Amino acid sequence: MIVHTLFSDLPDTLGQVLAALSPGDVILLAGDGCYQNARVKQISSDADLFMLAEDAQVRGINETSARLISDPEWVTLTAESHQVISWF
Amino acid sequence: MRFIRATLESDHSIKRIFFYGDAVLAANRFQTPPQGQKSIAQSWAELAEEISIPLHACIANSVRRGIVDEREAERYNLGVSSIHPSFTLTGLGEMTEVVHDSEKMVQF
Repeated sequence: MIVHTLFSDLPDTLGQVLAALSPGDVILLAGDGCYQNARVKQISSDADLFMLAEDAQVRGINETSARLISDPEWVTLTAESHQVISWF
Repeated sequence: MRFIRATLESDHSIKRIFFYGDAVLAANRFQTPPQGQKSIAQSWAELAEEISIPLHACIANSVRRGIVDEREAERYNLGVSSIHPSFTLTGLGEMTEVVHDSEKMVQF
């Protein structure tokens, strides 16, 4: 399982992430990547979607289909993954 | 910094913190933030001291952005070093070696 951590709020970067996804991969929205929340919801993808709870909170994002995770859970997700790819 | 703290509070460890690209600007010791604010270099320096993990800045990325230690300052006749003492200039070889010895590399 690869964790694709998306730090960018640009639509093109989300497109690159979706193109690179393999079955079983997950997307983690972090930083300004949390603003992809609305966009991701409209795109059908089998990938599990996570979002850093603290980053979502400071950006006023309350409604999401993503699973909100704490920083310790972020570490666990990273540790359980085969690889982490960061997208900026 | 949040990820680093959360990692160290778990049963995992961190070998190195490597600054690359524009992130090397964090190592500039001449940062002078407004009164009441702490410089990014100082924040990293305090964290590094607290957790005893070396802060390394890519030498090629640093020199081109004016971040030099005494050796590079002398080499390029710059007169004075600009790197915060908590940071060390290293090459990609060092980073490759650490990545090789680590379970994972996480980029921010």
